[in-house]
Amino acid sequence: MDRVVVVGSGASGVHFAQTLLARGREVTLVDVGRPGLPQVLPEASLNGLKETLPDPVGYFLGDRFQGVLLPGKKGEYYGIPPSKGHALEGPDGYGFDADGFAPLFSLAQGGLAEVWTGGCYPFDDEDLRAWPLGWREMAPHYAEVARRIGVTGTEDALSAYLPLHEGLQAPLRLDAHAARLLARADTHGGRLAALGCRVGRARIAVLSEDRPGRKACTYLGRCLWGCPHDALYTPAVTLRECLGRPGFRYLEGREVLHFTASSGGRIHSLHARRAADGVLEEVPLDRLVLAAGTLGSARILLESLRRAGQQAPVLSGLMDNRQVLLPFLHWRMVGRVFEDESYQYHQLALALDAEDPADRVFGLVTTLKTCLTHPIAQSVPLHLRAALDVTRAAHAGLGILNVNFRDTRRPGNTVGLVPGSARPRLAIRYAPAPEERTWLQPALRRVRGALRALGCLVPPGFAYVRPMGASAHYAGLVPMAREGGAGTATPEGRSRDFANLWLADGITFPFLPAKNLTFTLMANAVRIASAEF
Amino acid sequence: MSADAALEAECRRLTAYLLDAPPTPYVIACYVRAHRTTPAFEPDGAFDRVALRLAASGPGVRLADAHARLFAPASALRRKLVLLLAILETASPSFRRVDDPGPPGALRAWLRLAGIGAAAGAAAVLGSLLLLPVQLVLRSR
Repeated sequence: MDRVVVVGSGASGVHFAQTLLARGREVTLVDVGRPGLPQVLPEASLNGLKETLPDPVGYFLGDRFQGVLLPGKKGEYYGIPPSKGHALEGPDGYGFDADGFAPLFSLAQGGLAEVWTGGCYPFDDEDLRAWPLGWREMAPHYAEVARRIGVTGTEDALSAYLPLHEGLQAPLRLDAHAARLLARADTHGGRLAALGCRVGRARIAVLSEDRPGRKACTYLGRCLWGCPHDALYTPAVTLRECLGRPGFRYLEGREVLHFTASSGGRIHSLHARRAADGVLEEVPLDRLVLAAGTLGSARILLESLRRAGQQAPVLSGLMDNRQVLLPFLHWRMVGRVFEDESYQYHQLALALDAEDPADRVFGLVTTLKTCLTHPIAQSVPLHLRAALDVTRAAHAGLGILNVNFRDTRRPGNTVGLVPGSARPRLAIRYAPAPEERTWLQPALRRVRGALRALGCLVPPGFAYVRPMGASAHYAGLVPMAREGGAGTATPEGRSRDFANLWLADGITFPFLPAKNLTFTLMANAVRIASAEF
Repeated sequence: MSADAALEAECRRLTAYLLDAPPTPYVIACYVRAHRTTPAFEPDGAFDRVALRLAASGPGVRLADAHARLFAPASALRRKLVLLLAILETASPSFRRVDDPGPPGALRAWLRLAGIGAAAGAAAVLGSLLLLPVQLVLRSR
């Protein structure tokens, strides 16, 4: 039997491995794999934790108070809490030089999706227009992933934009704020339609029905700090499932450095460094699957090309979704008690039509409930006592719309290696599309109009344009195409540079629509594994 | 007064300012521990010290904070206040006060917000009349 080695335990890697295991294949998964912290008091709600934990401040703010967002410190309302800090812990020796891009890396078990917000948004034919395949080819794999991880959603106004697939569970119970917004969207559909806007239920990777080993969402309000019942899916769940299956070998604590290939372009081994003692290891293989995330896979590929003698190898076409955060206040909710026992992340979504469907804009509507309030109170332009009074009166009506914009492959957006460094360092260069301003501001005006139609106030000056890299939706460096040369992949994710190399993460995406890509990462990995192995 | 005792007194004063309530021993311990753990709460320059001294006077904290929010948002006083708020909102029972929206009813809430805004505006004017000249003089030195 072929020795199949998969690199990375993120969304792509674990679903690739699980697909092969289901077919009776043997798989070795190589991973740095930093484990997360054990969950505390699994039955306690968020406020229950505050009342029951011996040191709640230590849990929520960290032993070095790193969870406090101090004035003058860069951060967001939903910053990564200490309990999830392992997901983005600094990559030792895993440096980069970045220009115009603020990349995030994860060496955690489960990768960057350990800190995702669960959005499962299938790409439709318009999103896949630049891909060498369409919805018909992807639909069964979305359904398979939905069955594996549990995705809630329903048919509604967004279904024209979010195609329905099998495996959907019933949506979660809406919190009162989100329910009001959705009701208003129904009664003010005409105003929204005039803006080319649709509002509907989010599709999220959260269980509304129990399944073996995982309980349905019990509305503890702890999503950000880590769901203690795994109702909110993360790839670490699938990794655990793989660990329980015959044929699965997990080489954790290994940082993959590069692979070596014969002169005929056939890879025969992988080289990794053991994190514990720095010892270098060689892992022999017959087929290699890179699923370390677009930047992680690029790093391995580039270093391998460099060691094979290629001078200053560079990959181009890096993509990421521009995201803009728009805070809003639903004025009718002011003075109400917010629901601390509710699903914490976005429950609604919003789509803006565009003349060219590829330019559609997609937004995630999050009603703020159990987030910490000190980052919000300090941003109110009043002394903190008054700001706190304002924040607590307004808390139940506060929300954030995370507006996502599409990206395209452009030759100037490159990833290479910093020359002369002892350990491989990525050199990342990114510039937004020159025309970004011409479509970003008009789209935001329409989004603000949609929020007003939903009965919300949108305070001026509070929009936050996140830096490129912040969304962590990286893609596009080795695009798949029906025909192509070096530096491309086949529609089945097979490298055209190395005969036995498959690229199973976002690195092969030829276009990045405005939707969160994680669900498609999983479905695409399942598709490639099903087609080629 | 020892450094810890001074921090404890500061924690009591600032908690009374934010919540009209005394801090629990646990909150005080966390506040002191934060100052021991990170240098982020040390005054950074002469104006920081002046603002902290005014805040130590009791009623002056509102004026010093109102001024600092506008003209020194990352000052030591603001950092200390935000730290304390973060501790209060994650500790029990203070989180309940932090989360309490006040008397029910949207109209009452909006009226109260208008009052809060007006009073905070007045505090900002007064605080800045008092502290802005000091800040400018200290900056020019």
